[in-house]
This record gives sequence, structure tokens and C-alpha cells, in this order.
Amino acid sequence: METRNFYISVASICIAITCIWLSAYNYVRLGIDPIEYTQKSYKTIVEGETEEGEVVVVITGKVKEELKLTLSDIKSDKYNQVKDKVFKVVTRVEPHYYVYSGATLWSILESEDILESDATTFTFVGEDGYESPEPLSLKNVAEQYENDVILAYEYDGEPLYEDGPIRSVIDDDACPDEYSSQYSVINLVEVRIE
Amino acid sequence: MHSMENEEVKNLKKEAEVSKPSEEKYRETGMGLDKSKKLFTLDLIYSAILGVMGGVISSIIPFSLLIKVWYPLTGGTQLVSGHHVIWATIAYGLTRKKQNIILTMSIKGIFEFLLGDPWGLIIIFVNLMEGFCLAIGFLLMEKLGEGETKLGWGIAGGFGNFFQAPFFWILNQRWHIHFTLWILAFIFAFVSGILITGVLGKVVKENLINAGVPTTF
Repeated sequence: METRNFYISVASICIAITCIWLSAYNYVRLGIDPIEYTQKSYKTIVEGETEEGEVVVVITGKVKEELKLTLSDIKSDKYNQVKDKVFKVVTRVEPHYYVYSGATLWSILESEDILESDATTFTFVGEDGYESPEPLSLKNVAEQYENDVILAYEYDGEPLYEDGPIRSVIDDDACPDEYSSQYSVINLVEVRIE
Repeated sequence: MHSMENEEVKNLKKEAEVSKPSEEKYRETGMGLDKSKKLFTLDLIYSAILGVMGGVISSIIPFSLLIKVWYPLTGGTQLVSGHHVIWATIAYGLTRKKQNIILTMSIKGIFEFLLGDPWGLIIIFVNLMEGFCLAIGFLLMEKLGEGETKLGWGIAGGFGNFFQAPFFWILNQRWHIHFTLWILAFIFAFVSGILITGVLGKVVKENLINAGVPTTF
């Protein structure tokens, strides 16, 4: 019995070490500070609020200068705001219809004039390491369907709570050949321009 | 006078015939019948109660928030996914019938579907798959002589909870996510199955039996 328990302990320790090592690798790879994350998510999930002046999304990649956006920036009138628009989000199973409010991605990129001349695509990156599957065209998607590609801060008139403070939402019209749910990234922290 | 006596005797004889036990053979049914593989009424009641509880709790209570607060990586919420299957483990513990696992999970799946699960009818299939894997897990553990140990219940629980993780990730086509996150999610699903579905399920079952809940085996 003691030998058996010893083997069980060894197996448990091996699994624990694997999990810790893989988690640490991903923390480093994604640049996540676990303590900062815990404090921030406690505020967002438990207390249900995000500081308006806190940087929530960064636009990186082929840009003249990285743009750091706070929640109040994204809500401000200098960007085109989409209010309570019904978005058709298609999953592998069926289409869903959700009501979101947010700023259009194109209006942010255009009004800040940060795009490099050879920038052609954008990718959404979530805080948990999730990325939208493929880069989408800036011209054919973000610009052409401006009101269908937003950085959302409200769902059904309420803050996003555990899905936020910001998430990307793309209507199915903007990417009909893809599952638009895969491009609607919760806890959005980065928009990567390539 | 004599004829009246005769009639009384006749009536008494008739009554005696009526009250005499019938010679016809009846089939014995229900709880206590040795080696019966059929479900008893109590089995059905356990499955119904646990299935409904599981369906409501899985639909309404966001246990994933327990993880999201401190663990940022995608797939981390698999650490609490074992609670979806614990109901079938408890039902199995009280009845020792693998049909009860399937029955409990199908009731749970139907309830989740009726409560508006975003996966629609697929959620019933997922529940049945989890129940089937759990039953296979218990069967394997019994063959290995671990049917009544914590290790056996843990591994059976891990087996029952594991397969929903790759199923959902493949269904969501999450191929583009880094492979280390896939591995982590699957380990978490298995560990959650061991700890919550298997070991916690066994503890709950034993406490229920100690509290006087009747078993049907």
C-alpha cells in the first residue's frame, strides 16, 4: 500500500510540475503579470468596475507609434460610436444575435493616423492568449464594414464584466466565409497590425 | 332447519375457497431481487433528482469565475469542469448500476438544453458522451480491481470528464491556439475529473450513505 501511495504521489507531483512549467511558459510568452492580472480581474469580475483611466487595449505592430487606449478613450466621441447594434455572430453550431455598443476599429485607426503605409491586416489578441484565427484585411473588412467591426464595452446596455472591459465583435457580414465568433475575442488586450 | 345448516356450511366453504392463496405464480420484481439488472423505482428517483440538480446548477451557476479571477490562460476553467459529471458519480455510488450514469447524464443534458444552453441539442450529446466515458472508466477500474478505491474512482472520474475538453476545442476549431495551452487544458480537465468527479463524488456518496440514504445494490 505504501509503494502504491508513493507512485500516486510521484505521478501527482509530475503533473503539478508540468502544469506549473507550462503555465509559467505561457505567462512569459504572453507577457502576463499574474499578480497584476489577479488585482485587475478582481476589480472587473468581483467588484464589476474598471478604472476609466487604465490602459485596456494596445494597438501594436506596423504602426507609427504604439497606441495605448483607456476605457474612457474608447468611449470618447473622437471615435465613431456604435450604440446598441444587433450583431450576428456565427458559431459552428448556429448564428446568435447579440446587442453590443462600442467604438469602431477603423475610426480609431483613422483618427489617430497611426497606420504604416504597408499595414494590411489586423489580428485581435485576448488576455488569456487566445488570438483570432487569421489576420483580417484592414481595407476589405475594417474600413469597408466599419460599423460591423468594433471594440465593444457594453453588452445589452451593461458593462461586459468577466468578458471585458473590452472585447472585439465582428458581424457576420464582415467575414461571411469564417465563423465570426472566433474573431469576437473576450478580454481584448491587443490589436496587432501587420 | 337442516337445509339452513347445509346452506351455512356451503357459504363457509365458498368463503374458505376465496381466501385460499392462489396457485398462480407471480414474478418477483423490485428492489431486493438478486442479480437484477433492471432499474428500480428508487434508481429512477435518484437519477431524476441528481440529473435535474446537475442540469440546473451547470446552467445557472458560473463556476468558471472561481478560476477566471486568478488564472488568466484560456482553458483554465477546465479546472472546475468536473462538477458537470459529479452527479452521475453520486448516482452510480448509490445504485451501482452503469445505466444510472447514462440516465442521470441524459436527464441533466435535457435540462441544460431546456434551460437554453448555447450549444443547443449538442449539449445532450456531450452529456451522454461524458456519462458513457464515466461508465467505461468504472468498468475498467473494476476489471483492474480498483472498483472501490479512491484511486479507481478518481481515474474513472478523470476518464469521464476528460473527453469533453478536446471535443469542445475541436468543435470550436481552436487549432490556432498555442499547443501548450491545449496540453494544459486537457491536463486540467483530467485533474478536475479525478478530484471533483471521482474523489469528491466518492466522498459525497459515502456521506449520503452514512446519513441514511438507502442504496439499491
